[in-house]
Amino acid sequence: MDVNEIRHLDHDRKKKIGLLMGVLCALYWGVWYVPGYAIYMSPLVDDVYQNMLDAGAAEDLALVFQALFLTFINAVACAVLLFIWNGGLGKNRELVRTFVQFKSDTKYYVIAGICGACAVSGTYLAALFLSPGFAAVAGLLYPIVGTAMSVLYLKQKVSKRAYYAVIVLIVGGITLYAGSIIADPTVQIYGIIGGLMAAFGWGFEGVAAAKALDLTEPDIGIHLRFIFEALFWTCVMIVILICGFPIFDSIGWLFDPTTFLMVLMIGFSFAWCYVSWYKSFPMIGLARGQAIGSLYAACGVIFLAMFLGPEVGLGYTEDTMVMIVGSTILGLIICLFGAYLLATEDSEEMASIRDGN
Amino acid sequence: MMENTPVKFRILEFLENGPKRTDEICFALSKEYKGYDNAYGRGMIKFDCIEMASYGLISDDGAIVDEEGILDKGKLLTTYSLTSYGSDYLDYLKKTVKVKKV
Repeated sequence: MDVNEIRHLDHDRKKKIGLLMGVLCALYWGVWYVPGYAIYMSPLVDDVYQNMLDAGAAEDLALVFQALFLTFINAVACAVLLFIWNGGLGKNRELVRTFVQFKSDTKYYVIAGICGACAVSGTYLAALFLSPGFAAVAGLLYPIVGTAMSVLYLKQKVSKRAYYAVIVLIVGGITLYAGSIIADPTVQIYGIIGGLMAAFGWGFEGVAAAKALDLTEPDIGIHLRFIFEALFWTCVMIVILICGFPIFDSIGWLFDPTTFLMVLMIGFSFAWCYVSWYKSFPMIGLARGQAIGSLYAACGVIFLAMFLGPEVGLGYTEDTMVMIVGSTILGLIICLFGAYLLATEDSEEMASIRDGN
Repeated sequence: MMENTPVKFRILEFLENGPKRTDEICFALSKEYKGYDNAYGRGMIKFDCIEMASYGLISDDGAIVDEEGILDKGKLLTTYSLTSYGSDYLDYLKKTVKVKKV
């Protein structure tokens, strides 16, 4: 083989790694919904609601505190588990070397951590006050923010085909949940705010991370992002505690084996989903990475239907079955078409995602 | 100047004086960083170069096939140089980087 043939194969391999990382992100994100749903029934999270009510919080506020507590547990679990991941890869020294470069690089991960914290808590709020379907759809809008910013701020190249794929994947994701939203169209302001937090939070997180990833290893970048998110939530929890709400009263349940297993599962699935997400950005660019990652909506529906049964997973009754199942299948087909558009894009288009000269 | 800073910072600085081939970059830097002086460490540095080229910080100026197995037999030994975006980034790093013994 001559140089040009090997180079073409290398570009092809790079594209495939990027797309595979995006698909793995979607799979882990989808899997995360199962323990993420189950942990609400565990005393670790369930008791928080009653404890807050007992301390004099209104019902809505108790629900918000419960969602924030779960986000805190999720971020801490990811930050701790990523030490094992980076230790296994021999990258803990690189983590320290990067951590101290606050002014030149790490500051972007503080922004990414806070934007991510805003997005994750936003989806919980949207799920609590509206419906899990609305939360997923609102979250799905993040590639619009990410794509716009990748072109305007990061000056990354996005091909026409990639633009079409982003649009098709978003339309597919919205179609997936259209049935459940039409079946239950009640709207609450907290839910709308939560949805906007998810879309803008994840969109801007991707932009801050992609900027910092110019000069950071993705495994290190994601670990820094979770460390800062965990620190942020720890501060929030302490403020809630100082305000007189016993937010940590149920923390002892963490040592219950079943609850601990659930925390491990949410930690591993969420941490790996983010590791894959960040690894896809240098390979295929922010816009494509976020678009292919948005397949999480399809994976979430499939895994919830598999583990909880189609009725609970998709949330239909006898009256709404045709509409919800129909829109889910149609959405899945559209998502597959969007993924196909990205997968069949010429790898030379992605050889460099930015014109450096 | 940027010893003991993240590997990608050092790759940018290493290319400041002109284009270098993958094997030169990998062998020189793997000796600077503890735990990198082995095939796995050099592989990580090579992958860092691929990511940086993808981001437009360094550019691919030509390649030869590694027939002798200097780094990875049958794969490419690519010559990289700084792009103008990479040069600007290096200037920014020189002003902001904190050199620490790790």
